[in-house]
Amino acid sequence: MTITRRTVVKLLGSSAFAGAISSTLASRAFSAASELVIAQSGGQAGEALEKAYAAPFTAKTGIPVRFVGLESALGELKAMLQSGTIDRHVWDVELADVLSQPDLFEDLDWDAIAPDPIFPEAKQPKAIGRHYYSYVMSWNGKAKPISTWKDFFDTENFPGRRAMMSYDAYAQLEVALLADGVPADKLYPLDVDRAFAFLEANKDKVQVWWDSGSQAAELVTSGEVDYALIYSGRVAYSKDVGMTYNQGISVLNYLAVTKGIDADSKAAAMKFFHEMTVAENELKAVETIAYSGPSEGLDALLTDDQRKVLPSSVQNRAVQVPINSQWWTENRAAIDKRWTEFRANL
Amino acid sequence: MKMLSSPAASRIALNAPLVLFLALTLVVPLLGIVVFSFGAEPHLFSNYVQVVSSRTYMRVIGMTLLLGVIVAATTTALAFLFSLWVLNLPKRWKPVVIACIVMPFFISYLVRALSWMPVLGFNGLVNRSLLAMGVIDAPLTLIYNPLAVVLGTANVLFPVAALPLLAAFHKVDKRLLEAAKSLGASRWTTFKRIFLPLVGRATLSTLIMVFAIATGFYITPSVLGGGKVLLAPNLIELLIHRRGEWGSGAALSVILLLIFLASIALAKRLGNPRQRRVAR
Repeated sequence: MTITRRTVVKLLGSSAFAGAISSTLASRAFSAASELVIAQSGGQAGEALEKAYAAPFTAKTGIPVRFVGLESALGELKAMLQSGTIDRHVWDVELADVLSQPDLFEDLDWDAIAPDPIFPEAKQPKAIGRHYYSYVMSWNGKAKPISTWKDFFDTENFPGRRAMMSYDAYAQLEVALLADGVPADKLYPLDVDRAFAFLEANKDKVQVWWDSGSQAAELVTSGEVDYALIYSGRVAYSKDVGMTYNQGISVLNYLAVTKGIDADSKAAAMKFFHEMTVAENELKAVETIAYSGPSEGLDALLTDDQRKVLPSSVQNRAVQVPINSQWWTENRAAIDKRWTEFRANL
Repeated sequence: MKMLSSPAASRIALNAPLVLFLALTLVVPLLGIVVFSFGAEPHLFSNYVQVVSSRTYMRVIGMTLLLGVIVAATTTALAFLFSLWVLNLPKRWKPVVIACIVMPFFISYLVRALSWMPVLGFNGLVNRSLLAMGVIDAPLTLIYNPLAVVLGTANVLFPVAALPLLAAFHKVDKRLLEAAKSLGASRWTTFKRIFLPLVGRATLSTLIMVFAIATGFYITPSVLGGGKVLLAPNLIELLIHRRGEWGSGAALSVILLLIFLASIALAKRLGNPRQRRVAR
């Protein structure tokens, strides 16, 4: 046992040190506009960012793009600004992050970005829309398809096990209210009491509260549950799992720029952002992941199959409910607290 | 060369890397957590007040301790019986049996938690067999409940409990047991009056060690609890990782840490079996 522990500890130690050293070297080698550093949460979405936007950006400007991992944008950005060394320029954020902490982010120069036509919500003073995702209903291949959140909670007509998200009320309050009969255009401001009352009354229909998108996908694909609320991208390209964008809670994910960044890096970031608005580049991105960008021209380039499964196609935009980030920014703290209580009593 | 020849100096030199390593990777981050746990507004202890005054947080801590006690008791009891069995095995079989329980150490906690799903899940082996035999008409909820969390955690901690017990049991001087037997003691009397007092403290310290580890478990409750069993480590993850609420998350961590330290101090006080021989 001693040997095992020691070996493990040693291994951990060496990799930690190696990490520390390589990041020191990297930050030393870094100088203004010699490269663009983007902090993002990685996975397939990061891969799409690299292939679809970084590649044409580097080809045009000669500036290489480096991607670094990200756990929590606000936390890491704050820590970086406190340390006084700016070693990351662009951040993968939610709009609520930018709205709640505007001082951490630089104003974008939309003239410099010179965007191709994009949906209006993608053009924020301090953030640019990157891609849409949606909280949707999905079902195992053997289960009866559903089309509304009312069906999702209707265990009589649609028998089976359900799964929802454990760690957040975000989008799930909207889901509860839609299921309870609130019309989509009357959702905001959310009736929080009603949403929690509905969830409280229906929580026993939910067998598993998942901790990650991959767990959710695994549950519904394996048939461990029959119906799952899930991130659209986890199932949109799946052949074994059914899903619909109908009543999906649509969220646009954004990129934003570090406050106080040097002029050269900022100019580089704006050029990078331009590439994100080009329909052909966005088409490239959806080859990697089922999250599509805010270009208005993208739909025309899609095949019928793609229009069916991508969140920002004209047909799917029409049936989803866009989340209200402003409302969430103002109410988040109180709801988080309430969600913890709800979750502790599941 | 001269330095190394002095045993004290070489001891320091040889331990320095480890001490430095522990300081950097354990002590410094831990101090960071302590610093984070003290709030600025409205007063220094506001995060602690928030944790202690919240019924939800206290319930979560209570549930964590309760499950910890149950896991510690069942795991230690099973490990005790197992160690007794191993003690009486023929010598050549012992390494085989011990290897069998040490082996799972090399498999990650996550994999070991996930591997319950194909067995006990709604679509798992047990449910499918019962359905096929017509014993039930709807799958039973065998996991995604507190019992599954206890089962999974106990399973993972079994070798952790068994190894120190095995060591303690094998240190018992067999001649004492034989002497008791030759003086006419029954097997039960020998066990109760000779063996149990000799291994009692080791058992108790194992119990407390398992408790301390069990209350810090994160992955197993997350996977086997189906999100319905919110324990303190998962709450800390929720607060710090998902929400960036470092203050309350750190305060909760410090409170848990104090509970661990108290239980480990207790374990230490109850002593290890090597030191107490002389006294009696």
